[in-house]
Amino acid sequence: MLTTALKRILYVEDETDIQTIVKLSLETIGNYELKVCSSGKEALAEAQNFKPDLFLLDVMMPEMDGPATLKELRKIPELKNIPAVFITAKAQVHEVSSYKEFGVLDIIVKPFDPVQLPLTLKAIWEAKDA
Amino acid sequence: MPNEDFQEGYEILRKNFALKLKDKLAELISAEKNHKELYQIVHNVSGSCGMFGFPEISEAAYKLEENLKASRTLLTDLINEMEKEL
Repeated sequence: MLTTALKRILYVEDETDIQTIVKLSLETIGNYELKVCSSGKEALAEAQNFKPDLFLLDVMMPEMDGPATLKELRKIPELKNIPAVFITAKAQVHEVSSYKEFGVLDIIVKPFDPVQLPLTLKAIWEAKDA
Repeated sequence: MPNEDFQEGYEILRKNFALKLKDKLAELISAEKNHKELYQIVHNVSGSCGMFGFPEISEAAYKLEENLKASRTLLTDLINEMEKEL
């Protein structure tokens, strides 16, 4: 099956340092169009206008965490089928099976090599229709 | 009846102690909030240091994060137990 290329990523992360390095990596190495949001609430406000191909969500965020954000995003009809990838800390890895219940494509574990991130996302994206 | 005298005294002391324990419970509930803040800071250090080329700091923070996570559960258990008993 021919896979549509991944272009637009809505990235939700509350930690500004990680936001910065992920943005640098995905824009300069991956050539992706990125919308960075600092909270689930901001993602809900921006997602429909941005029209992402993929949600990239940090799991542990204050107020609304990644799974809660995705649940709300999926309530929006235009966004309900947008694939998602979670980013989680090593400390939350044992909770991976519960994240998979949210129908995410994959889970990336922090810390990760930012240089490899675009390739990792590309591989995840291409594997979804394989 | 020395035993009965003791029992009577013990009950009074126990009631007084339980009152003090309510203060300790309030302190623990307050400390739980600080614990959450500490966990959040350590979690941030663990994740970000690993991505900016400070693996040793990241690893040390990760170990503490795991420890804090376990102790947070134990702290919540203790608070629940105290709330149930008091």
